[in-house]
Amino acid sequence: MKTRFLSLILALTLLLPCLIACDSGETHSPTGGGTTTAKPTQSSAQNADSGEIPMTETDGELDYSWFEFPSPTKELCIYTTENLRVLTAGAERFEAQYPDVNVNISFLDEDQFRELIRAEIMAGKGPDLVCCDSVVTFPDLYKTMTTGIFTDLNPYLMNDPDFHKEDFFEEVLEAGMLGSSLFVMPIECKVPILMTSEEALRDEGISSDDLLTYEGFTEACIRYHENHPDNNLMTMGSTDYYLSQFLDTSAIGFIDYGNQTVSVDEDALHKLIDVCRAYYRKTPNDQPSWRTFSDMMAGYGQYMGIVWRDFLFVNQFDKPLQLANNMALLRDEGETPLLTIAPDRYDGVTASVTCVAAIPSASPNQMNAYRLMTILLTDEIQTGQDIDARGWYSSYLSVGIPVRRESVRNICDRDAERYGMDEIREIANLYDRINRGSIRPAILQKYIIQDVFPYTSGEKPWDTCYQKFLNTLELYASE
Amino acid sequence: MSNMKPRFSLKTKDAITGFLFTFPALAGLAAFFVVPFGITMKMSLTESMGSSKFVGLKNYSDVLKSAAFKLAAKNTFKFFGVALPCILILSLLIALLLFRNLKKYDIFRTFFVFPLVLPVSSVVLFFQIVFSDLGVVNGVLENLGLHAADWTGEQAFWVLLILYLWKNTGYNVVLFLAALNSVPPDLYEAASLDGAGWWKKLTRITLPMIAPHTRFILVISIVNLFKSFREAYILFGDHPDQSIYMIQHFMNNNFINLNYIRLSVGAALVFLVIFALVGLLLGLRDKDEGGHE
Repeated sequence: MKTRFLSLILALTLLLPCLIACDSGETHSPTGGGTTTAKPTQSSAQNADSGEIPMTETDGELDYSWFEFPSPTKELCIYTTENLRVLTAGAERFEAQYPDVNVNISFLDEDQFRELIRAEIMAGKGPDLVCCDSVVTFPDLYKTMTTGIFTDLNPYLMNDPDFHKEDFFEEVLEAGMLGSSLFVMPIECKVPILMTSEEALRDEGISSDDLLTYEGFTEACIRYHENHPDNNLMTMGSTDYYLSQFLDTSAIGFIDYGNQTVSVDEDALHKLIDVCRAYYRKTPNDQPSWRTFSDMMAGYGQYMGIVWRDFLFVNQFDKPLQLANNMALLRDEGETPLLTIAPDRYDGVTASVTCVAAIPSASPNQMNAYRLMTILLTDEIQTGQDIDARGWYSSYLSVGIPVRRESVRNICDRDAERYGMDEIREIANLYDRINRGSIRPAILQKYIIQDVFPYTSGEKPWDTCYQKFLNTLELYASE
Repeated sequence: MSNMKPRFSLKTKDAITGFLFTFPALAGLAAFFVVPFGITMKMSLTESMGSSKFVGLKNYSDVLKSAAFKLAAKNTFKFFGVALPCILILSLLIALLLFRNLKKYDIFRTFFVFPLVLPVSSVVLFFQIVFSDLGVVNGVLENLGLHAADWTGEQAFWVLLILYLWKNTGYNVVLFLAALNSVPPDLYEAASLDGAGWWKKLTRITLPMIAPHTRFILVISIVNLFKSFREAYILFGDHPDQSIYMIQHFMNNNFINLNYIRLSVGAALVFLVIFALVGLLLGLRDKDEGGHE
């Protein structure tokens, strides 16, 4: 009898997965890669009654008029991975605007952040707002978005009369989207501007127009290596560094997160990797620009690398003022400075998002979190500056530029006036070329290094490495 | 006084005492296994991390349709299918060999358990040196004029199998030796008198007599098979070659990406399979015991 009973349980147990596998029920997976289907997630406001999300699509635009803002509460708990000045400045203004709300900010290191988030999410709890580095904190922010742990911000933004998408680099904000839902809000972005000189380009037979297209740019980089096999392409940079920099700006897509499939532009990736291959060094000490760097530390500026023709581009400046300064110094050396941005594979300019904010779905204080998030996007915060102990101006944004379009121009105008350097205004025109945004999943870079770098070091052919990379990606995408 | 009826019968008293003694263990079991398991099961039936909406078996359906899960399940079963017979046969053969000359090979007992107590990281480091692209094995192959193999790629399955066998065979040998010791020697003597050969003695006396031990060794081997993921993870990373991508890779990677719904589904499915396997073994035992009665 006992054996029969056990056999019955066994049969049922083994049959269950088969029955489930045969289930032909529709799946509602979130879509990515620019598709328009929405992924319904439920914020505490959204699932108040029925749990259903009444979302209709009219003329390609999703209608969120059904949405009602949740009631404000008295608490706001924020987790952040570093002492982000932009966040603390925003929180100060929030406290001034809403003095009855108790604001609690936890500064955590990356590991603490991940551990705490994991444990609290599992328990259905967690912070009301997370504000963190977009690349380091989550191995793949888009994968995290697919889990539904973040609230869709679109219903808030679409119903907020004070929010105007056109005030921002819209394409950069869209980097926080999965399908038609905006799960993370970009706060700060980065566009690495490269400085060279017209004379340096002329010496290499490269025209400035070559640098405007992806193909032209990658070919120019490789040609420079062929002319000067011992030189670096940029001021500093290991193969890994070039890879991360070009991955940020190339806008090469890898995964369609919605469909859990791989979609890589092999040709574009191959070109990018070929640049890394050209400048491959076995050890960092092989860097030929080391002399320039030491000299720079001894009192010269990085621009001298251009004058000495030690490398083609200076790539170490994040702020318009630094660029303008070095342009002036380069001009003093008799060179004509030229600024450019590494184009993406669509021959446009992609900004990489460096800092994001998101509201966890489980948060009971979403209204407060949303209010703080909108404060972080105001011109006051995006252009904000402190004066540090040395009496120098220091931006609230740590390494990048504002995601608010007018704030970029405001910063440039302010600095131009303050330092009497009209060139800074011209730099704002370069940022106007931004027409795409990206958040690079750090894990993809890891897989490229793991699978494709044997090609950069010349150990294995491209096809073998690329196939291995595709296999890894396919597994990763379908997990 | 002596006529006073006790408040509880002896049976009830025993039951209360038994319950009190087992309560700490039961409470621990409930707190650390039963309740989390219940939460995991509940989570596997909800829509997403941000929603507690009940979606039935939809998540199971999604996971079972996922290429990664299918590959992981296929590889796990394949590894089970190859590794379990290998380790059982190998360890039984070694045990039989040692049993016949136990004194002579006594030192091997220590030697065989040695891999189990070695730190995993040093074991993995050793295997990396031996099986890397420029490692010892490829060096030997090239010296013999053969092509070097990609031990971290296409051949990774065999590296993992060797690692598993190397690490766990010794322990199984010790268990088999204990089992062989429990077989009464007079059975063999009687069989010899009847003219039974080595093979007959093995199949008619040894294997039936050590069957209960074998089942235990089988369970231990299955447990150790699941543990071999640790080595696979350290050796080949979170996304290894497709030949050794296993269920634990699937679960671990979903944990890293905070996808607890898929992790819960994976855990529930693994539980079902283990439950089925253990049930099968228990069923076999009951059948055996019924037969003996």
